[in-house]
Amino acid sequence: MRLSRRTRLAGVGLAAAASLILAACGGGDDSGSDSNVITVYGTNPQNPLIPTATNEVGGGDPLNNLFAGLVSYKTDGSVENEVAESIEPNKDSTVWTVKVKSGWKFTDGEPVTAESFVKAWNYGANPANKQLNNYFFYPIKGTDDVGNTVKGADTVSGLKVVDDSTFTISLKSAESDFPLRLGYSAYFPVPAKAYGSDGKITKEYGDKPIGNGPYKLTAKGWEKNKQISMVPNGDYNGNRKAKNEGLTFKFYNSTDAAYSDVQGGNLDVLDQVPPSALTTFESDNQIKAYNEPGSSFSSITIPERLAHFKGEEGQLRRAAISEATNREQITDKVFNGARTPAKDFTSPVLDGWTDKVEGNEVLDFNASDAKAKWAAADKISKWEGTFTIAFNNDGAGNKEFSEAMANQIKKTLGINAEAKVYPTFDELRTVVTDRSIKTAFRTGWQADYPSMLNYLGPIYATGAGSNDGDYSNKTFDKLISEASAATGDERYKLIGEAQTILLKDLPAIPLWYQNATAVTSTDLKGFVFNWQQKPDYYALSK
Amino acid sequence: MSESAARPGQARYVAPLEETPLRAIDAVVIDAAPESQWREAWKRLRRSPLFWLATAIIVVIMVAIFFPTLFTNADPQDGDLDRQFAPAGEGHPFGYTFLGYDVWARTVYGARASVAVGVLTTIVATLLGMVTGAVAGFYGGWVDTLVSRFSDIFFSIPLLLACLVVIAVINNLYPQRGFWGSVLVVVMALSLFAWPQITRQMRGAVLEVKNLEFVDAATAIGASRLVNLRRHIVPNALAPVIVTATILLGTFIVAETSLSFLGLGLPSNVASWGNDLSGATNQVRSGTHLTVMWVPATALAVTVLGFILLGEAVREALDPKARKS
Amino acid sequence: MWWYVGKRLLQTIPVFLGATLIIYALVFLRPGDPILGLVGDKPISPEVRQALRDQYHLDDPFLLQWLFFLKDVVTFNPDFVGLDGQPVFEKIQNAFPVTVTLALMALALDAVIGIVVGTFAGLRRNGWFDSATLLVSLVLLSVPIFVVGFVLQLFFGVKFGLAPVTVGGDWTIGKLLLPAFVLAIANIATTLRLARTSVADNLSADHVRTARAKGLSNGTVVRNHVLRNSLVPVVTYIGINLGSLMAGAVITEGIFNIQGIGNLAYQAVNRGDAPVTVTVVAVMVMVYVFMSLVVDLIYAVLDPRIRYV
Repeated sequence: MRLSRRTRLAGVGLAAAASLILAACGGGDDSGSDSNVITVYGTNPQNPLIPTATNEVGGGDPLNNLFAGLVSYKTDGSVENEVAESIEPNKDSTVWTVKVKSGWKFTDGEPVTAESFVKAWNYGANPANKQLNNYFFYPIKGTDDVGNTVKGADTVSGLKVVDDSTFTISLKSAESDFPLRLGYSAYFPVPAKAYGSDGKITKEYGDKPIGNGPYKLTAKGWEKNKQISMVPNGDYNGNRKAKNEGLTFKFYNSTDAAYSDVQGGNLDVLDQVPPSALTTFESDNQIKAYNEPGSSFSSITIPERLAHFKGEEGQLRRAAISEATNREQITDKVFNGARTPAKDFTSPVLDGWTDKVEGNEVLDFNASDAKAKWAAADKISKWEGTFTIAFNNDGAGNKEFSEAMANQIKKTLGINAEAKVYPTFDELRTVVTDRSIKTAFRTGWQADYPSMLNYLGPIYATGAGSNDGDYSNKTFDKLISEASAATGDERYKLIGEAQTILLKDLPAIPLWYQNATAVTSTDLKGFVFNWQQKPDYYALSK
Repeated sequence: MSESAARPGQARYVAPLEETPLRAIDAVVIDAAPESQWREAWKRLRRSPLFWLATAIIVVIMVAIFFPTLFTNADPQDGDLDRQFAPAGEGHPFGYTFLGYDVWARTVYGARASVAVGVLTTIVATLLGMVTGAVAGFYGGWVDTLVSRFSDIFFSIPLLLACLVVIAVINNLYPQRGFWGSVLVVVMALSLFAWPQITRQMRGAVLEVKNLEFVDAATAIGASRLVNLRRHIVPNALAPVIVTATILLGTFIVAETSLSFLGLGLPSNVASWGNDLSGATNQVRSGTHLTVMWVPATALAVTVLGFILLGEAVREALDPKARKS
Repeated sequence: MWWYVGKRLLQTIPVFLGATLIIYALVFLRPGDPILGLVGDKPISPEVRQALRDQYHLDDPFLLQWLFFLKDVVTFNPDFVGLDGQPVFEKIQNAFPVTVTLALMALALDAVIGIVVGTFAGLRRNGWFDSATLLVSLVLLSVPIFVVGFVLQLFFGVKFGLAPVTVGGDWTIGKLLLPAFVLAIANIATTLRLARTSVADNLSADHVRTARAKGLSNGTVVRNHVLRNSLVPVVTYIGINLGSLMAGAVITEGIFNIQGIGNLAYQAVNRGDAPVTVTVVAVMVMVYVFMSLVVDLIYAVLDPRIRYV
């Protein structure tokens, strides 16, 4: 009896294995979506889908399509009113009056009113609600330096609802291009239904947000770790009317995998190119390739507080390191042309940008001058030890460029130089934020709104939130605040002067502008980069 | 027939001497030590071609580790983007990498870190495992339960994931370290979660040996428990452990490359096969300049093969059952 | 027997506690403030940073954090969330099926290929087939899995289009075939060698000689006397491996974009997301403990000499 039982066991095992293999052969592919639904690259959102809670692209891209703000960005980065009827400044641009168009509705039928905006912004600025986007409210009166409501207040005093369709925004200081900010997702409206009985936005809303944008979620909506699907919102009547029958943000863990899927026809849009494909993507005929200058800026920050980098010695050494770095070679060889060597601290896609900022020759490779400057610094105080560049390994290409840059410095200046790895972004940011890092480190900036000032003030102004190197220069601060209030050529002249100061002090050493690169399936139409290096998803079709 | 009849007091018939002549083969040298298991194994090893092949591979690699300049004159840390993927030339048989390092020099110098990780991890994990396993198997009872559950805990935690966290932690506590410091971090992380494998094997072997007659005999003549453990049980349980250890050595070298691939192996300024291979994945994905992958991959495969072959040869030599065929 | 199963299940409790404690300690010691990872390039106010740290108990003593975790896990608290505010159990529920399927497929491939090839190699020990498989299996053991994965993906997926390049969220068994094979490779080599040795040993065992002496045909002897006995160590090895296959899926899942447990854990480790990391490890530990119990029970079925009391 025992024998037969054992035989049966073995038999079951084999049968199970066989059926597994049969099933494997039968499992055909289920792609077959030849309709006009566009599949685009995405990552699983890290936060609830609430405008003031989402600060990363995984949630930001879907939100931008589910909501409409007061203004919307045109492809070139300029703004046009969307939900706003008008946004008018007072004489000195410190108080802005917003009128909301009538007829806008959330997809559940609730009308979009002044209150929809003001309540959402107050919610975002109140630290009790732990929203990650509070930073965006810092220009408004009634918030502190990082955009929180001031102590003891639940609401932002600078926001006032006048009537159902009107509200006013009072700013801390004059800002002539304030409306430029208002297309960012942190400023989207939120319906009254979103708030639970305790006044907090509910978890259900964060999973299945109700918006007023060109798209709305399908019944399945956000399938965690898989995808977010949305269809055009029939009631939407704004500037970004959908030209396709829906969007599906498919989640990936690596851009390599996504790239392979575009090649294989399983994904329509990948809005970046993995480093492994940089040398080949423009000649690959299985896909369509896009590559143009973009809006994000990369740099190396060498804080004043490091030994040998203070005062005049520091100025000389920073300039020497800048000139010892052959940007052309790295952008060409490491990034295969997907980066453009920096000529200033901003981005070439912006209004007013020029490659002729006074003093920017310090950004050109110049071995002999670099050596001379380093030697001059050595006269002040002799250099010893190793020059180290810290980078986070979870960003594509960081390791390669940091190592290549260390090698260039080693070769040109004849000193020891090395790249030091931090496995993840947050580990690097922690030592940067608590100021315990003892080396130079990689920094970068992606603008919140398309203005050159957004690349300067938040990073280099005294005490600014992202001033990782604790840089401080009173003349620079003054020029920046003057430029904020100025308009036209006067504004750009002031910005140029401010940049010349930065080029002398080099609080960060500009490296390159990251190009906007993307690949799409060959039958995709309507792909154009907007200023955020993203496609306008509504304009895509097949 | 009176001669052949049993004498008084004699219970059985004994054949007369002339009927059972002694042969030379039955001569006993009284003062000769019995051939130990180890000497026998060594004899068999010497006759195994597998063993000599493995030894040859390992010797070549050891020479590369201790005298890298015999193989290459290039500096493995000298990177120059102007030489990106430059073709092979005099003294540079495999050309250059993406960052302009000499492929061959990186591979030769990389042997040191990779083999050091493999060998040291094996030593640490084996020692830990042997001690715990021997104690558990010999003492039994609650000691056994305790050690077994403890090893279960470490065994059940996935190795790669655990190593990722451990290395991140140590990196934070001791950020500044040289070559050996970096190697030791990986060794500690790997061996911390690898020892239970040896523990289980050692425990099993000790349990098996403990009940054999010669151990009982030793106990009967009054050997203390510890002496028993040290003199009789451990040496006899050693054979299967050595076999596992040599095989594990190869897997540790491979594990280091996997850790580097995930970004947490040896730091990138240490030349190691793991770093070279993870740096080469871009080339694998695009299918261009594959030499930068093949050269370190081949070196790695040959090295691991050398140690696994050694393990295989030792196993054949030590395994009494394998002898029969 | 039930008494034995009960006893074994009770013994899993200290293992579970110990393993979660160790991993929790490690994640606790990990450098970096996970909140800053959430925040990205933009500044965050100290109030919000502190409020978030409080929400996730990041400043509590480590043992207290671990106790909070235990409470959430033991009570299956649906509000037990990771650092991204999403329920941990929901994440695991979503990621678990694909990884289990992948690991089971790898296990099946491992068992079928390993046992069949290993048996043939063992039956003709030291023949050309044996030597060839020995060499191939050793080479497979010595090449890192990510190299194999990328190479197979390049050829089968991208170049020849024989297999889907990646799996993604909509997984099917057909799509998982190539990744399962990649995952199984290193294990196939070991299973194969184990089966080979075991078969070869049993061929020369006394009871097999007796069976031959009785005049049984070669096929009958191999089927009834050699294979059955040889399977015991092989089954042990294969069974114990389900857990390690699931853990080893980290790399395979990354290469083929499979949204499984391994990926979930890898990302959680990188984010410093203790709740998710530790829960995943706890699940892996349970799988391991469960499988070793199953293996021991199968052992008893295969080898009548073993009895559990």
